[in-house]
Amino acid sequence: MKKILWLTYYKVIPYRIFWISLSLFLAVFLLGIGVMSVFTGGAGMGATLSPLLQRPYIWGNLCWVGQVGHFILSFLLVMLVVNDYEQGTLRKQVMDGASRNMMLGHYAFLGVLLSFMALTVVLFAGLFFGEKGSSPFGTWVQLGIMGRFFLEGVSLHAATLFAILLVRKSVPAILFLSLWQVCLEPLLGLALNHYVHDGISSYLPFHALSNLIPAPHLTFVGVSDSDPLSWIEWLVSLGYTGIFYLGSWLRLKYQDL
Amino acid sequence: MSLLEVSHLSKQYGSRWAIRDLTFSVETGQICGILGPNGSGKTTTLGILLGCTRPTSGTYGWLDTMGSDVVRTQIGALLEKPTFYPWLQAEANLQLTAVIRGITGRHAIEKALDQVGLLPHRQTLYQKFSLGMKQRLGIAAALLGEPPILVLDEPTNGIDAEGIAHMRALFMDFASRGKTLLVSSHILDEIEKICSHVVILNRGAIVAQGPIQEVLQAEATIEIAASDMDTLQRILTESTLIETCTKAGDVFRILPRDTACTVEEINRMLVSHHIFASHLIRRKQSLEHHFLSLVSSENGQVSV
Repeated sequence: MKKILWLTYYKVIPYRIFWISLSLFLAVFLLGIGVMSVFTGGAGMGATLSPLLQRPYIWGNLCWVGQVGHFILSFLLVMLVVNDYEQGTLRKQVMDGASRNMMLGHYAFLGVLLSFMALTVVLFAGLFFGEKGSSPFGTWVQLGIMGRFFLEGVSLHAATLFAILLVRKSVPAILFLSLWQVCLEPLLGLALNHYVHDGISSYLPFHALSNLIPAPHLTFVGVSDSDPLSWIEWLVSLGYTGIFYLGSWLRLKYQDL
Repeated sequence: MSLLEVSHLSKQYGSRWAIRDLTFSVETGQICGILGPNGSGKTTTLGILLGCTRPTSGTYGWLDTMGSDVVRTQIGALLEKPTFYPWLQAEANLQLTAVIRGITGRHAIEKALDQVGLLPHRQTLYQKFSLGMKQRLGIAAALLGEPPILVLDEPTNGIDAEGIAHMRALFMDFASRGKTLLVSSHILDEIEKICSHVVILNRGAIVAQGPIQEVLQAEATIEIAASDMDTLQRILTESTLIETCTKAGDVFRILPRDTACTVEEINRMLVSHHIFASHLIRRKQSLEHHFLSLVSSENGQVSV
């Protein structure tokens, strides 16, 4: 684990695109909050905040806006891993004595790290705006959705890693992921719903991931503070994460570098 | 026990065999050269030995282990071309190698950079290096921590003549300390100068291997002339000591059946037939000549 941490530190910290991607994520996230605030009755990020940015719904709403960050950071993961293939540094690190399991651990750690960074940004934004705009009696009950947000990031990065290890090129990997999400999975979902069982499409990977974070409450009137969030999405997403990592492990184990 | 044992190693890509049934061994302290024309399987072989490529069949073992990851931390390697992160300085790139090999402290990195003459450029970004400097950094990474084994694929690519001489001295010094070097190169003169053993590949198969002197001896010819050339020719063609005999100008050029056959034995045989040689000399081939004759005869071309 110590080697993985050092490897990540030396590789990522001086990588300019890493900081650019983080900045982009932050900018898009703040823009999203601003737009959401303005269009739902607040006065931007000024004194009067939108009800959507008040506790308890702020957590779910910020997580929903923050999902775009996961996509930006998954592109960063694509670049980091594909660099290792295209520049031959993965091969070099294996020649130097890193096991393939260690390299997979390093990539998985990168995914977790990126998810954690997104989580931190959303958490601090939630604390800041929540404290600023909520009444002292606003509950913290929906803070648990942050766990779902983190799991969504980890699962998405696991899927991204699997796609990269399959095709080993950045553009095809991004195209494959985008096509799967936008076209293939919805079509497959329609077919499964029609021929197998209605509603089964919600168990497909990206559908299950998107179900983790409910859409923002356009009104908080009549919405319970303890909005029941099903654990099924948790389990399904965890299962897919495991499958993607298992697939990545098998792919890397038997791959010529 | 051999340092490296390779047994019936084969690798197939689709329907094409990159290497086929390679069996050889390398002992501790040897400088073993792997030679072969482009596409003969040198890099594939080294890639397998370094754990990057999976063999289709066959086995190999460093220090009696089967391709373990721990063993690879004891091997300094450069395969095909140096591969580093362009956005990192030379020093930081070596730091990554040091982390993986479990080498601590800056001293080892500075020493490796100094050995290849890159210490003044240690904080230069890799992307700003010239081809020769990149190659030197690749060699520095291989030398990092003074591993007992070096595996280098075309190590002098892109390096100028002065640099090549420096690298040669570096490798000789490395071997003089009882360490082992496995090197592939297309510069046959370099191989001949530094290697104690060679494995010659062609079309993925071994066509010759062993101590370099023995390999060259195998094709060493003996030139003979005498006053009575007709009798000499008759004796030579009838002799069981001799594999082939050809006329080359004013002399006969013979290839002994046994590579250990000495000039003295040939002379003794001639004297026993009352022939006194006026010219008797062993002509050893250069590695390049031997290599070309082996490869061209395998490929069905006219020997050089």
